[in-house]
Amino acid sequence: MTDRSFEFHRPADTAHAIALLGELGDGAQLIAGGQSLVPAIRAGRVNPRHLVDIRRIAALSRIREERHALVIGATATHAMIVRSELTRSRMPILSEVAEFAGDPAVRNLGTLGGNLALADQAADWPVVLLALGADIAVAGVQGERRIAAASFFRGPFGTELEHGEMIVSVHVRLPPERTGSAYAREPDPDSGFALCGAAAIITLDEAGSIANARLAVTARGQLLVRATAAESALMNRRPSAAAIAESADQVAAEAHDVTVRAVARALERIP
Amino acid sequence: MENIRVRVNGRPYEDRVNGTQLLVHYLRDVRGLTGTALACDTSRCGACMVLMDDLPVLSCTLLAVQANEARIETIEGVEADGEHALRRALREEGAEACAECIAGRIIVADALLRLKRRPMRGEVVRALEGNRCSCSMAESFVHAVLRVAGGT
Repeated sequence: MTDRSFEFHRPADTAHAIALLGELGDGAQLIAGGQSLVPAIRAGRVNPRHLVDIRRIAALSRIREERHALVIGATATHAMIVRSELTRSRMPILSEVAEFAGDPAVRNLGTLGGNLALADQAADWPVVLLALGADIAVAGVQGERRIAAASFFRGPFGTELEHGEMIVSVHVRLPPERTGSAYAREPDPDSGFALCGAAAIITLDEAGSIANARLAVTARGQLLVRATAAESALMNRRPSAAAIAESADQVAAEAHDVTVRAVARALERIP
Repeated sequence: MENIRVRVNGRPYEDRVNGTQLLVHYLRDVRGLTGTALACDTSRCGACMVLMDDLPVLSCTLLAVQANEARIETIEGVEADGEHALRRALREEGAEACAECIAGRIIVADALLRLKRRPMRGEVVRALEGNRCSCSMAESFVHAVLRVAGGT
């Protein structure tokens, strides 16, 4: 553990947290659960001069429904998202993906915002939010803005966040009728991270053909993409094993199986 | 140095800690509660688990400053009234824990049993996913939890 200590700040609310980030500059790091940050500090990978603790800002952890969307606060823990009646009933893929993070103790403290800010592409949230077309609301001293998931992630461990900006919430549009979503992954046997993962959101029209397909794939911790060719291969087709296989043929070979599983399960879930 | 106010096993404390001090070291070295083990020290094994505000957490993956205003329960608190029923049940299973991970396991199992009187086997196994076992008694421990839950 580094000998250099840091100053610890406990802002009472989000506005104070943002003001602190603005004042303290580059040497400041937000800490919520710290389940990635504390190991990183211990290993000397990061060396903050200031820690800004946002774990106890109640408003920042809320999960709520707004017009046609679920809004998950940045400091909602994975455990909260797993248990939330709202996500389980309205958008179960969110509770499912939350259950893959770490292990039970890590999930009790680790947060969605922390996961996204770290932007490890072998994590599960980035690929699921990419498929869902979620928006990430961030705030800094210059104000608030919404960043589409597709623009938020910039390469391994890279995000669109500017200095002094913090994630405030994630907005997930509720899907139309006749939509099913699923996430499938292949875990690394040692770390538990996703060697590859696929998230599928499929909507059928009234005749039972695929009217909309959103697929995102992650592989090797380096690839994180919307699988647009695979999506096109599904459009207007009737669900079938052949259609699913042809769609999965369009993604990177190592992600073929998880894509088949995700698409098949998403289709099964359409009421 | 930072001030922290924390309740440990029901008693309030106010201490000054170094910002970098881990919760596990605060509990063991400052509070003298050495029942919480430090094994892998890399967030992987679960031996260091304590309850923070009723939730099992890794005390090696928390700074003491993060526990400000929190309620912490260690194995000493959980066993304040004597040996946990799980230890006896484990002995009756014919399994002797090697002592590395047992405190962390009891912390998790106790928290689960407080929430769910009769967990299913799968729930017990999943709850213990973060607790690695070095001496192959993991399965016996699951049985012990189910027996204690079943009231036998």
